[in-house]
Amino acid sequence: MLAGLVAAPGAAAPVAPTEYQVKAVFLLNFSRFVEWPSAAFAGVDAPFTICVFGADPFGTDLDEVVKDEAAGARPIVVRRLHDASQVPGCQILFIDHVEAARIAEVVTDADRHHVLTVGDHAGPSQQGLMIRLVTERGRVRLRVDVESARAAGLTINSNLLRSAEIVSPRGGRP
Amino acid sequence: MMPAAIPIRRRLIQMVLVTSVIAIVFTCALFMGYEALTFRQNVARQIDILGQAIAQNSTAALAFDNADDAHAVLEAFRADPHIVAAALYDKNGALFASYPEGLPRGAVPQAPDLASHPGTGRDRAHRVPGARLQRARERRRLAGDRAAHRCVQSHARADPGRGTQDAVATRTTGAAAAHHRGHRRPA
Repeated sequence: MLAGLVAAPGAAAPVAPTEYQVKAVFLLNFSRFVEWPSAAFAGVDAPFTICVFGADPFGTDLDEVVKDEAAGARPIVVRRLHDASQVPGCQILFIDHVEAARIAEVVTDADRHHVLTVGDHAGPSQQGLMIRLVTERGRVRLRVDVESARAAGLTINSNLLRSAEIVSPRGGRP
Repeated sequence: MMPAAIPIRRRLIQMVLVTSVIAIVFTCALFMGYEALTFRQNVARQIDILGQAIAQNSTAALAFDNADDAHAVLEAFRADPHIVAAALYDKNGALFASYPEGLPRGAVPQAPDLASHPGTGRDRAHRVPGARLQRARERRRLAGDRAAHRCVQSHARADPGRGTQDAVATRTTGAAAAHHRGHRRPA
């Protein structure tokens, strides 16, 4: 249905979004449905930062999606990371499936800094990710590990949870 | 020939009777009009509140494109047997989910009347966690049914921000419409 929501400017018929355009919109929407503790931000004026770790599958899509957007009073910015040490300061961290081997090294640091970790790798395991974007029958679905999010000090809105499949930290049903 | 003189007593009784009948008829008309008006207002208010709650609960379903969840949310209308149909629309006005599921085309408007809402005195905006809810309402009589139907629309924006001219839709807007049968269904 999101396909129907995407329309090119001036075009008569809606244009179907690509998978990563949809995922970019989802990343932005997480900022509306998750609460971060104040300690997650460097200061009151710090922007809300969406980070992409390693390979960036979004191209310019994510930048276009967050352009001029804000999370509360904080402007939303996008950062690309190549090292786990750069994770502090991120509020949402997307780890592409090609970086699956490096998830473990990033996730531990992310939890400590109240970072919502999001990935889209295949397989039954969440590998410590809080939210996994799974493509099923051409639609992007959410698998949420509430325990991990709670352990990182994040509060996920119940509306989001109702739209998602809730899984245990090991990836299975709780 | 002059009409027979009517006794004053009888004339007085007639005057009192006529005055009383006029007063009773006038009061009844006034009472029925008031009842009809307040009944319609109450029904509209109830559906408005229900529509608002549904719209509020549908923000994530629209934001994360989950029609199954939207159907589940709309199922809440089952609690009110007077509500015969309801629908959620996406930001483009396309039907996203309907209640009851598998509703035939035409049972609900195929698009909400978004154009008529902005600027009307009854429009209001609500802040909800992570979402903005814009609500507007409209009443509509649907042809083909003897009973008066009402249609109330609640508009929910799951993602506040820019206009709608973006190449990529970064927000999802929904409208919940509930059709209410203005009388009790026969048991």
